[in-house]
Parts: sequence; C-alpha cells; structure tokens
Amino acid sequence: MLELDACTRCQECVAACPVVRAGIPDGAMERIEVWRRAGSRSTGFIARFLIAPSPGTDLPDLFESLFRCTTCGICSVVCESGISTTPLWESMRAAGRELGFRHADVERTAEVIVQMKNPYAMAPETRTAWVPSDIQVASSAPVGFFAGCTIAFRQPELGRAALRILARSETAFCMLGMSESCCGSFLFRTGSMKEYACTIRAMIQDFEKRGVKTVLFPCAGCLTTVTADWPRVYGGPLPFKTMPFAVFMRDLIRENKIRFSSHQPRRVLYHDPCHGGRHLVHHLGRDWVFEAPRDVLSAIPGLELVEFPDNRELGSCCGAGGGVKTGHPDLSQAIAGEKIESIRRIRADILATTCPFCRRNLNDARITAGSETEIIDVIELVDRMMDPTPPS
Amino acid sequence: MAVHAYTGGFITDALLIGTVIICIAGLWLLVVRWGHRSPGRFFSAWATGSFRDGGMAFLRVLALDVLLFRRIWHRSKRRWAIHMAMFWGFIILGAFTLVSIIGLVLGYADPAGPGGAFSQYLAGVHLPYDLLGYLILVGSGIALGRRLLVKKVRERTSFSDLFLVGSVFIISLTGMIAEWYSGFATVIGPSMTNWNLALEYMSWHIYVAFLLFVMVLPFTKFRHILTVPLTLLARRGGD
Repeated sequence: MLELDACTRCQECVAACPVVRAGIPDGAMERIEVWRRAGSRSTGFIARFLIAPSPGTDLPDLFESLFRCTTCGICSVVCESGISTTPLWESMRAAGRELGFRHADVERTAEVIVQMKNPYAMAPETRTAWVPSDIQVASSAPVGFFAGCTIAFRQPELGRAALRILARSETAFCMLGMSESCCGSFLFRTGSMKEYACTIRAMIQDFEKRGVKTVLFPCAGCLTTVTADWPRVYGGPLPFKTMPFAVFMRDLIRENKIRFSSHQPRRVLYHDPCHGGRHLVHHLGRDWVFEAPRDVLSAIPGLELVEFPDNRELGSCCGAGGGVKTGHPDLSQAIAGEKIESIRRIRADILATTCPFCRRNLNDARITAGSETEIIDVIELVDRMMDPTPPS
Repeated sequence: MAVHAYTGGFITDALLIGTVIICIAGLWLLVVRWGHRSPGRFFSAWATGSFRDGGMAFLRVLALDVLLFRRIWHRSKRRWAIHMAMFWGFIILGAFTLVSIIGLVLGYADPAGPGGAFSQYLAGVHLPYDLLGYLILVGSGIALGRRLLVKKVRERTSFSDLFLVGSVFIISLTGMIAEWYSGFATVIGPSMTNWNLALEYMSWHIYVAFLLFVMVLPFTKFRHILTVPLTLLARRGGD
C-alpha cells in the first residue's frame, strides 16, 4: 500500500513502457492510480466510516490492462520513487483472479500447465525425447541442468548445443528427466500458481536427492522463476545455487576448456532478456546477468559486439513475457517488430540472446519483417564456433 | 516578510491548529492503511526492509537516493536539476520559516530582551526568503505551465496532479505578492509598498499554506513527500 501512495505520476514509466510505445494507452502510472483508488474505496477512511465499501467500476479495465503488460519491469527501473512494479502487477493479477476477473486464454494455458506440466500441451513422457543418446547424463551429480519446456518441446537444438558444451568440457551433470516439469513462470506471472506449489516442491526435493549443488539454466525465464520465485514456495533459500549457462560458459572459456576456431567478421548485438537481466540483477548481480553473456560473445574471434542504445537494466522488452504472447499475440508481435526495426538501424548480422522465449518471439517478428539478421542463442553461437578438436 | 508579520487572532489560530490536527489524524490513517489496519505491522515491515543491508546501507540510501535523487540523476540531468532546486528550495525555506516561528515566539515572550532582538533581526532578513520563494514560484510555474500547455503531458494529467502543482504555485505566489507589497522585496524594493495589501496577502498566504498543504497533505498527492523517502528506504534505493 505504501508503494501505491509513493507514485508521483512523473510519467517516466509511461514513456518507457513497450506496450505504450506499441500504441496501447496503458502504463504503470494509471494502473497504480486505479488500484490505489479501489483500495481506498474498499478499505479507506470514507469506506470505513461514511459509505459502503466498493472497489469501483474501473477494475475490469484495470485487469484487462494488466494482462497486456509484459511484466518486463522497465517501469521499476525508471521509477523515481523506486516502486517495485513487477511483483505489484503479479500480486494484482492474483487479486484479480480472486475477485473473479479471469482472462480466458491465460486460464486455459494455466490449466494446461497444471495438468500436463508444460504450457505446450505436450505429453509429459516426451519431455526427454530431445536428449541425444550419445550424451552421458548422470543420475546424480553436483551440477544439474534444467532445460525448461521451450527447449524440451520447441527448441531442442538449443538444448543439444548446451549438452554438447557440457560434454566437451567433461562436466558431469544430471537432469530431472521425466520428473522435470514446467518451472511455473507463466503461473507466477499471471497470478495463478497456487495449484502448482506441490510440483515445484517435488522438483526441489528431486534436485536435493541427486546431490545437486548448482543448477545451470539455458532459459532466462526458468532461471528467474527458480531463483526469485521458487524460494517463496519452498519457504526459504533453495538447497542449491542457480547459475546462468552463460556464466558457466564464461568460466569454461577462462579455464581454456572451450576454444574457438576463427570465423569471418560479423557484428553481433546482445539482447538483454528482461527475465535474465533486470529481474535477476538484485539476486545474482550485474556481472552474472549483464556481463557474462557479453564476455562470452567478446571471446569469440571474428565477432564484433555492438549494443542497443538502451541496454542492460534499460534494455527494451521483446514483447513475449507476462503471458502477452498467449493472451495478446498481435501486441507481442508489434513490440517485437519495434525491436527488429532497431536491429535493422544498427545493421547487426546476428542478434544473440539467452532466452529461448525472446528468441522465438523476435524470430517470428523477423520473419514477418523480412529481416536477414540471424537470431540465435549465445549457447548455439558458442557451440557453432567451438573448435571441434578436443582441448589439450 | 514571511511569518514574522503574522499577527494571528483566535479564529485564525483555531483554524490553523485544526488543520494541523486533521493532518496528524490523516497521517495516522495512512499508516493504518499501509499496515493493513495494523500500524505496528507497517513499522515492523518497513524497518525490516530498510535495515536489511545494515545501518550504513540505510544511510547511503538516505543520502544518495532520498536527499540527492540518485535515481533521477541516472535518468535525466535536467529533471534532476529541477528536482534538486524544488526540493532543497522547499526544505531550506521550511527551515527558515521554522526559525521565523521560533523568533516570533521569542519576540512575544521576551519583547525587550534577546528574544525581541532576535525577532527584530529576523524581520529585516529578506534575501533568503526571496531567493527560495522565487525558486519555488518559477519551478511550480513551469510545472503548472507544462501540465496546462503541453498536450502530451496534459492528456495524462489528473486532478490530483493539478491540485498539487496548483497549490504550490498559489502558496508561493501569495507569499511573494505579500513580500512585494511589503516594500522590502529584494530587487523590487519600496516601489510597490502598500502595507495593508501586504498584510492581507500575508494572511492569505498563511491560510492557503495550511488549507492547501498542511491539512490535505495525507489525503492528496502531497503525501509523496513522505511516501517516496519511505519507499526508497524500504526498497534500499530500488537497486
């Protein structure tokens, strides 16, 4: 409640919002104002002593607006009052569900996740079908690998690239296999995770049983959810450390366990995923979330790393997060289209990222725009440019 | 001229005391709301958040984020300069006003002694009040002008925004007009002297300051004077 009263309506959040830039007149400032007013009408002085409490008539519009929010968190970065907006939107969505405001597409996806343990309605027993048979996966090891649903069911080539890097570096690692389920990111972002808590606790216990001390994440969405949201469900710190795969790769490069063969010069742009960037910076620090992927790209011979004008904490959203790709695909593509346009202006040959969801959304927009820029994950880029001869 | 020209009266004094009581009651209701009907819960949660990284981190946030607007500095140097001018103008003017009130009380209590002398001395001090008054008048004038004249800003301006900026503008304008009519205003000098009008505008200045600022502080956007520092401290600067 204090944070709602701290909004000075300076309009910085409105100017930075990717949804507003895409032409939708939403914005954090108005949402905070409507929610604060609803709170006052329900629990404030006038409601308590003078008239019957009522949340008002503008709540349906508010919840509609909430589901158009990508929860990218840029509003929090630019907020002069330091309001932590993303948790606010998530809690408002949860409160909206309690009040009966439910978004049909979001509810359907949430139901699928709870039942099928993935958002793509794929049979759970096919989850590990992408794992190559020639890669040795231990049943228990200090290093765990959490692939996530998008890799398992939509982008197996990215998962295979990660496993090849693990195998090349002779790192013993284990996976949850068939027991791996969706991390619950969609459910946390849309305020519908209550039904899923047991599944998350089971995965934490499974990692613990396998003796895992560090879990590697090739997916920024899963990484953020496990790092920031799972402890709330678990009721305390997790029994393992979470690590972005880019940090692991940077360590391998520094230890000379990965070497690169030389390639033709190309300009590469790095897209900071919201989940793997500003959402995590308070948990994992700037070096891990912003610098590690850049260090990896800079270490590859022939690549020239260039930057978006707004990068790191201020990096602009791809438009896929917060359930927007599911609930408002056109809006999601409009936001991604803006990003593709700025890539064209920078004249980059490659756009690298560390989030499969960003990669997918930006790739969809790239195809629509007819852009020739290659959109690829940092992991795939490393795998492609690695020297095939084993390290000495 | 400031408050040392204030002569008061029973009705005025009662009105001013009433506005202060309403302000304190409103602040209490705010704290009750922030703590979900339990002020203790709010203070406990706020203290836990603010001191989670230790006392030094708390002081660093207080200095850099609350007093020096680090977050605004990172976004825009121009906005930062305007915020600094308005905030520090307001704070220093508030401090000077407090000193004036103390001088006034001392003058009443001890008219022939050092208290009276101090009060007399303050009555002749105009430059800092004038400079800071102009600073706030110009700052609030620009803010009001933007909200009325710039289409993009006007479209997103609510009544509460206008009330805040308009109140600050009216409070500073009435104070400045009183100062101009007093004949002691820096630069303008005695050319406009009209003591009756000066006292009338001084009374208006005090009324609007209490009615449009003190009394409504907890119920309007003015509450950000409290909530922004509290939020920044609880979120440890938001970084």
